[in-house]
Amino acid sequence: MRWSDLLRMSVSSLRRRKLRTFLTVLGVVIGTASIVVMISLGLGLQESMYKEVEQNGGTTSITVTGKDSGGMMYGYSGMSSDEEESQKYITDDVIKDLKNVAHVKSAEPILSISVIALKGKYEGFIELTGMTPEGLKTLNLELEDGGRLPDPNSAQLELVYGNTVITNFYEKTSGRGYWDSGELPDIDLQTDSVFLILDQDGYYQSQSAASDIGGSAGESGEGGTASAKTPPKKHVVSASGVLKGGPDTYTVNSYMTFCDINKLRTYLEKEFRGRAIPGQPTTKSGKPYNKFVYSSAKVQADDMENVEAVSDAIRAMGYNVSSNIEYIDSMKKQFAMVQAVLGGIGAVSLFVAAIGIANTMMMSIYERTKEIGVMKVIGCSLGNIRQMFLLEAAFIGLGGGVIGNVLSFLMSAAINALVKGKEMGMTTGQISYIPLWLVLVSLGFAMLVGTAAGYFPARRAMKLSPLAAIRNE
Amino acid sequence: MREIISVKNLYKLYRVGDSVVRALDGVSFSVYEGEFCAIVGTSGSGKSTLLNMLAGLEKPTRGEVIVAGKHIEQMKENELVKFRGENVGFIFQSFHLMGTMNALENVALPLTFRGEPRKERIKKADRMLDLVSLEKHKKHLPNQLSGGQQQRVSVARALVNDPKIIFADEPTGALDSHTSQDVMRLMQRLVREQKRTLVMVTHDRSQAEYADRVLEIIDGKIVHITENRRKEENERA
Repeated sequence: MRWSDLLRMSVSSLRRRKLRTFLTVLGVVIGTASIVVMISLGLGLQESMYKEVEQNGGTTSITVTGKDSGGMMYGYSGMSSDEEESQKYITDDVIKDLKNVAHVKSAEPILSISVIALKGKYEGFIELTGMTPEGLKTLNLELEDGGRLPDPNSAQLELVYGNTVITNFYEKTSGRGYWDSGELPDIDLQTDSVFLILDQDGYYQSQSAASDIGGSAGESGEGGTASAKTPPKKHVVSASGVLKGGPDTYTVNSYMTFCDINKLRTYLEKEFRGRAIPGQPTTKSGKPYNKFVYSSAKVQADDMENVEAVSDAIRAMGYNVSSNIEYIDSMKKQFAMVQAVLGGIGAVSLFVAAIGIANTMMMSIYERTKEIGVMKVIGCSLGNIRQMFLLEAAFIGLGGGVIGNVLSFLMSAAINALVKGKEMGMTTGQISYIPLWLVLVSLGFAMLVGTAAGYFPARRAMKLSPLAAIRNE
Repeated sequence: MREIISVKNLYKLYRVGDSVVRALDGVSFSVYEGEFCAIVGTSGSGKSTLLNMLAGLEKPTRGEVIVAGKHIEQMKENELVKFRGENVGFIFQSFHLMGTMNALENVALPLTFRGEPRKERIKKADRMLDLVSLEKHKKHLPNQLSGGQQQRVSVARALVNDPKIIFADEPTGALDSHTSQDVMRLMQRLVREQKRTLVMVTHDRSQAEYADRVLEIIDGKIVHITENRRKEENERA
């Protein structure tokens, strides 16, 4: 028999019993819709979770820090000479090595330093993070309109402010900031250039020296003897961009200020010529280390699956490694469970629908015993008869799957609309999310369930004796 | 004349409770090519069982059934289906037309099962319906046709795959006497014109009058064979 004829016969026998077909299909519709909607909820949750992780430094990024680079151990441990040998600092060479680790997409140095910014009557602390242009790109920073990432070739140091950095500024005279007064400082970081003071110690020494003129003399004696009488250099810097968001929008980067790492390095080296740059390790005698040391390195793995392997490799090199992988792993496990539970609930209803299909097909075969017999007598092969019934069952499954998916999209849209109305913009993702693969898988699954449910009835039809047709009642 | 069906020592035993019923009790006969053969018997005589075995719908307990040179009793079900599709046409008592198909499609059904392209099989079916003089009812569904018309469709369906043999199981059992006559005449005419072999089972002796040869069966045994055609020919001569 030709496929077109098989299809035609199956469809026509389904159409002959419209109500029963409809009811059976309805069962599959409900089953499919419940699976799809349940899984879509799980996927939506997962999606928004991933988005959150993405903002928290991404799923593939690994932060590498030198061992014992904090320097706190020095004071407590007497055997510093040994330790110096075992120090693992993030230097340019190390960055190169990191890049050669398998599955590493990129390795970029990070240099963090806290500085003071001055603007008019305001003073602010800024956590300045220098990164390479490539490294900055991987952060996926969202800038306000008109902003751009720092130009590594610019003459001046260019900054990208986090959107909440402005709240770190306070009035020099009153010491009141945004958190006290509730008023934002009158600074437009996007356009105003500010003075940056890299040498905090020097700044405070000179400040206290200045205030000592009218203040207590006891302390001024000590302050006065300090070497830095002249205030440290104020560097004029301007912003190349500001991160998107208001002062109350928190992201991982909102308190950060980014700049180009090499620019920052040259600034620092100029500023602290002959002295140790704060944060740089020093030898026992307080001399700067002979190589420039970065605060940390940001390593990107090529895939989420490889983060673990890369972490292990770097750890074996002797560095401290931190990534989101443990978090992601536990999250993955959780979501697998949530998916399984939700999908299972849906699967139960599809299973019930499958029983419905089997029942309908069985009824149909009993009803058509004669017809099946006649078909056999006038030359319809057993295989064709089985195919015909399997096709009917598959059609019920497919029809139910298609309508069920349409229903799922409607329900998903309704859920998303409802949720969106309730919470304002906290989570950007949708709570229910139906990807294409889910549609295809659910369609295939519904069809498979239909066919499987139709299998035994179809076998039964195939094995019916043609005699039943001849017998006259 | 060439033998087309040959039955040798056919037995069919049924177990009913503790006793054994002999539905067929050692039947032997032959049917020749181009012959209209009627098997007559009362209900329970074993005539239907005999037909079922000729068509391969039931397996005999013992004995041989050779149809068109093939041992039917040894065939598997799939082979039987194929064999029937190629060599045998069937006419049923209650017509057994597909309710969802019109007359044309019903007639074309055996060809559909054989996988013939739609155009060709509709053409053939069309010709067959002309043959049974149902030109005006080709697009009608079975429930729009009278019993006689339905049985004509059924006859056309039995002929459409160009079978050597046609089996008819009480073809007029569901028809009134007038239409019965029509259908019988039609079958008789077709068999003679197209040189086909027709084996008909009936309980009605008057229907058997149309046959060339009548086998009378009682309690599973052929008790009497009447040669009608020879008689006719003799009368003509």
